[in-house]
Amino acid sequence: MAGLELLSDQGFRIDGRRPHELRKIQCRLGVFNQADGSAYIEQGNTKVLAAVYGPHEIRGSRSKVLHDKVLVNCQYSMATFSTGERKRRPRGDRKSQEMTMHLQQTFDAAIQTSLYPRSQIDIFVEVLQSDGGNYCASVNASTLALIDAGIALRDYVCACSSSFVNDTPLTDINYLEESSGSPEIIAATLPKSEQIVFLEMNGRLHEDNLSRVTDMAVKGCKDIHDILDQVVRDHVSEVSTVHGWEN
Amino acid sequence: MVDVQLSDAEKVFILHGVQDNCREDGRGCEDYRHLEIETSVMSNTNGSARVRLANTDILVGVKAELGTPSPEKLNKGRIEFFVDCSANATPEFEGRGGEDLATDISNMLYRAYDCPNCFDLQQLCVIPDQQCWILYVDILLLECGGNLFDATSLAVKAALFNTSIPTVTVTKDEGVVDLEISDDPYDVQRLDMKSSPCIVTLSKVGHSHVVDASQKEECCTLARLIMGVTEKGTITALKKEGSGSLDPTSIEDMMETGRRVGESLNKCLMDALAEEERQGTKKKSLGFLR
Amino acid sequence: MSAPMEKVCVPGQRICRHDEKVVSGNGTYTRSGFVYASLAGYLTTKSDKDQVIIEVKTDTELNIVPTVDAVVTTRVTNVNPRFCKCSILSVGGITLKEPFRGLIRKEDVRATEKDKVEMYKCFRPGDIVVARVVSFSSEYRRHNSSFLRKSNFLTI
Repeated sequence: MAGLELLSDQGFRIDGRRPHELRKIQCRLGVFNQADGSAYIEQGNTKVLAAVYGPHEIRGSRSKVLHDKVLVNCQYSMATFSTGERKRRPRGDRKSQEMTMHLQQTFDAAIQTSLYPRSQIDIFVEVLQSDGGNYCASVNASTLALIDAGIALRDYVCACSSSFVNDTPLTDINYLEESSGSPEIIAATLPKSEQIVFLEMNGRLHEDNLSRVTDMAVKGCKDIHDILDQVVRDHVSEVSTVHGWEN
Repeated sequence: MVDVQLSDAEKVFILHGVQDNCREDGRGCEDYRHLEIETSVMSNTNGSARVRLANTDILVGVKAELGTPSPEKLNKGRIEFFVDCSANATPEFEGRGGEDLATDISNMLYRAYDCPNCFDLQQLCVIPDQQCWILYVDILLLECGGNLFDATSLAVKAALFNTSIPTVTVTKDEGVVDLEISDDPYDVQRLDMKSSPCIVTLSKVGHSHVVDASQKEECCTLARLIMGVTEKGTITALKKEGSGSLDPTSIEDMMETGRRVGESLNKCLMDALAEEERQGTKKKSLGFLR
Repeated sequence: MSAPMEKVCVPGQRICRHDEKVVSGNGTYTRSGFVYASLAGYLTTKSDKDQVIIEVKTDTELNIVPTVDAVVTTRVTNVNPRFCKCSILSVGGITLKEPFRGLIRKEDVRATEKDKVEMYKCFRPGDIVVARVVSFSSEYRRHNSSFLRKSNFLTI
């Protein structure tokens, strides 16, 4: 694309951010009453809603029941008006199914599955507006929704993406940067223990640069963790004053 | 939709309340619950709105695309409705679970908007017989708290009010027609949707009928009359739903009530939307963050 | 161990070192010699003899599922000569958000004269029964035993 530089000479990206800066994050827990837990997150222009139901008895095929763990069932769905070009099907296409499997894998690692054997936890993610970083926003929203539902977690799961342009690693890439053809690394980590639960790479990246870009993504996860942590603590304090518990 | 299980005693309580014009939550038979509307919630759509009617949460996005008109109406544009029941509302909507409900709602909307006087499709025509605007109205059901049809139609009307289509300049050059879509975000045209209908659902509870039934009242309802009403009181669509039967006189009464309620609902909606527009940029866009 | 200064805790937060005096209660777990929180809420400590139980209190009720040897409260939905189906409403004292399904077999109703039990005379649909979970069956229905050793089963 002529005239569209991902990283200008002065070190500014298309949306005016510096390479290590995250997009503006705003989030809220407890958006819906009906779901056991729900959360909404806005990362820049990407808006994602997550709802959690459970743990409850396994629905549908009973052959999937696990005798010692909980079954984590996810659904990733995008609103038809979420992308620039209107999407015909909200879910069921291959990309959504792939995302669903990734989310399932990620949360299997974070939820304390042995506490709820023979049950099912549903995580439903709805992308309202998509501007890059869909997986990351989905993971962050789902973590908040799980915390809101009171499901025991080992740790937060935070996800962040990073890219490599002009010999500089960029963090938290948006849609334009994603579709420009530069390599992309998406990582989901447990921030306190700094363990990676999900790692995916797209594009071509020289292995010498791999550790720099991955470190950038992990650092991004840590920064996101700080933001989410503050929101959760504020929410807990707010809820406790409503219940009158401070003692 | 979430099934609320009521005992017989609770049903009798609701029935008696409705008879005395004092429902469970203190409303009269023709009162709506607390309604919140916000437009311009999604930035990459031509128009969007979010409606919260008690526990029911609906999000509508309108996208406009150029396309060919339908063969029967060559100089008119098209409006297409698509309803998606999100699994956020209830786990039963996972996968294709919510398709029946979605088809019901979209069919009702098609029927209500099919009337020639209510939504003028002529304004969407660009080049007669060749090109027109197609409005894709996408409705996302986020939470079901009863009375989905009314809330959906309010959200659709608010989204259409908020919709702005870029102006198109048509140039004819030696028989070759050239379309130029303006890039200027302020060079847009708004839609004339003042007479687009709102759907009013009347539920028969006992011997009387109520507007905006909550989930508990919906359990006591045997029959429902769903009608599309414009601001002038014209009924554009009528559908009876439910396993119970209705007497012709009750239907007439319900239509009368529906017409009255529909007129005032339309008026209140337009007033609220005009107020929101008047506040302009002073109003902070809250969306789901509130 | 001293009570932590910060009362609000979040999942993954390290609370204290794990030794014989410290017991990790609801909402906490132990890993590599430390006690961590697994829920977002308020930290509470309870002293029981000379042990300290650390728990996390949340505004909603604790999420729990029926496990073997749990005492559950159920409501009978179906009665059959061989077994009766019931719906598990609460585990211990904690109400479940959604009921689970359970089964009370003829052999589990009482300890003596197991073959002379007539289900219709013991249970009716709608009865509330307190039972102990005996096992999980392969078709994923929990088998409850309404035979509680210390007291007879209660039918309300």
